[in-house]
Amino acid sequence: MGNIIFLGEVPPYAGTWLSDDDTADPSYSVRARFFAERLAELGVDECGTDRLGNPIALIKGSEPALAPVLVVAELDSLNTPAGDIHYELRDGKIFGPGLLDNALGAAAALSLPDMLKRHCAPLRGDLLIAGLANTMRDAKNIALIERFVDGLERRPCAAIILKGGELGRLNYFSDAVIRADIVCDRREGERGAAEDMVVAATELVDRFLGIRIPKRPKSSLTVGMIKAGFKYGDPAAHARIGLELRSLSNEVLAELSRQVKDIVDLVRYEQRIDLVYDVAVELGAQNLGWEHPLVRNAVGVMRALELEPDVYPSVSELFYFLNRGIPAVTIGVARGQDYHQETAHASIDSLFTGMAQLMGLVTALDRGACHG
Amino acid sequence: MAKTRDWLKERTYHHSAFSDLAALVRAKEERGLRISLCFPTLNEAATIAKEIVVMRSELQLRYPLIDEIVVIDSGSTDATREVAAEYGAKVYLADEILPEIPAYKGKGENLWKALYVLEGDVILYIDADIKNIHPRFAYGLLGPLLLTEGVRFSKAFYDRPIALDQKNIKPTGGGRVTELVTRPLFSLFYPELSQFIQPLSGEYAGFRDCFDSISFPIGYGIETSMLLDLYDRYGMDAMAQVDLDKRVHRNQSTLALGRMSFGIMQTFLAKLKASGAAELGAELYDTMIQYELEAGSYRRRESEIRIVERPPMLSVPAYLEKFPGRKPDA
Repeated sequence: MGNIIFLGEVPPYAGTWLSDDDTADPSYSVRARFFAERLAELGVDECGTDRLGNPIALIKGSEPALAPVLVVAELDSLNTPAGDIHYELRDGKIFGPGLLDNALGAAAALSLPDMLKRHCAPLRGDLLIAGLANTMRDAKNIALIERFVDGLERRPCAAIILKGGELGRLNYFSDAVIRADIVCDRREGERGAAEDMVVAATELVDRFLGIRIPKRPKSSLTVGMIKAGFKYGDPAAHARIGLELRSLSNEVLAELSRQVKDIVDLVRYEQRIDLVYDVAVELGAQNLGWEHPLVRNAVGVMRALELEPDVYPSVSELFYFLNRGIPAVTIGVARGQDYHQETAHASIDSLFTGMAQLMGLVTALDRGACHG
Repeated sequence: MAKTRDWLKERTYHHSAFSDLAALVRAKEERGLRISLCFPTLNEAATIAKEIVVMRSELQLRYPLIDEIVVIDSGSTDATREVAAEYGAKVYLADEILPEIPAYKGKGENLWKALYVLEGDVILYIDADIKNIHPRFAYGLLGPLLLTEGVRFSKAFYDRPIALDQKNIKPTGGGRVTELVTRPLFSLFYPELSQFIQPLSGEYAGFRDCFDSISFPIGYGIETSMLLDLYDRYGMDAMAQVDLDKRVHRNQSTLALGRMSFGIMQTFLAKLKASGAAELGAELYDTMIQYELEAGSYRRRESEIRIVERPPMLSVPAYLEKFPGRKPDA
């Protein structure tokens, strides 16, 4: 619990985003620096950062020839309030902004060295513990995960991706996903051009919602964000729509994306406005498979702890591991509520189960579940 | 004034100077010391759990620096005592300590009674309302006691209010009561004590003899009284102050600070009189009179603030019985 408080109260990032090069500086993320220092203090065998500044620690096993197991957690938070962050413990719960995404997950990773030392036999294979910095700062920063995976010096036999919540989640396949910004700008001085970008954005959204979404393979279109205007009485000169397309099928996703682009093109000509379809993230569908030993072991550990596995597709980190042939699952460490809000909180009791789950899975993997 | 500058330079630390916790544990063990941490509480259910978890996980489980964590409660009506016990602290109701002595309410009462139940050779007092609690609050204060020869008492200050090179000294460091009441009084009568950046801070640590040999006002004057007595007994060189960076806690209204100022001045003047440093031609009143604007008119508000002072714990027979190694002052 100390680790949750210490890590959660450190701002997830600091400094000004200038270029990709900044991320190579370990001092760029205050939380990453804290994570690295804390791991070093906890007595791991080695601790350093990769070229992006992501902290990576190594706990050596007795059989160095075995491929390592990787435990990884994002260090960022979607909700980062201005000013100081204070966590609270009350009523059997822990409260704090960014708790569930992802202070809890990162703190669980931080707690592993101590827990392993206290409760487990020495490891056979090496264990890598890593924190991922700056991945939530901008939609496009998801590419940093890809660079992290590509930069790993040793290929892990399996990766466990830790999230704050929800305890019981088990993600081993990823949706194909496109996240895109559609940027609308007024053309000044052009005759017949639409004046109000709020109206233009609404027109776009109306047409997007008219796209037929297949139920099989399961697919979705979500308009998650609209930003426009700055004054009640002035027509907006600029608007931005945040759109996510998902599907279990890469082909269906490509078709949905084509239709969105067609609508954007059409509205551009009809309304005489500048429209940009800017794809921030494009990931393919990947599936480790229910029968994979990593999944089977994860399910076995959950059942032993009387957890009902909650299976659903995930995006982001999982895709990059699976896409490179590294078996990976995403699991949660606590039961929480008010995700992404100032009032985010998690049950303290559930944390103990979450840590037991993590320890159980690490132990199972170390005993050879994924060593082929 | 040369001596004044030297103390500030030599006895002012930053907590980071003591962040090598293993070294502190070694120093403690080499000297065979036990350390007690005391949280005085009154309705602190919102913050006490976090304070205990942070201290326990870092300074008991990870580094065995603190031997016991004790909560002395004034009679909270919320779940302070239950929460504290659940998270592993020893919990006492102040009224139940030394029950043969009539009880009072107040932080000073808790600190004084804590001396009877705490087992440590070194005692650390930390307020229970700190939102940004961190192990530095403890190891920062313990550092000078364990690693600096001759230091017997250390006191916290916050927010980096001062830098020790001559170019970067900031003009103020304390809160409103410090700057408007305490520091002017110290400057008038005990200029050396004005070097304490935040003489009223509620976090301090010291060897047991520092605390059991002095009297404890039960109310607002406890910090002022403590500094005056320790200065008198040990001098400046036995005292230190530690920058603990930022401290986030409840803010108090101006009216509340007014009553606090009244209590501090009351204690200060009584000490002056007792020491013979000043004579008062008349008895002091014990009612603070304040006015509040209410519905377009001023409402008079009177608060009776009496000096109630606990004698040195060394004068309590039950204490001497429990700690036979401690001897009453000659």
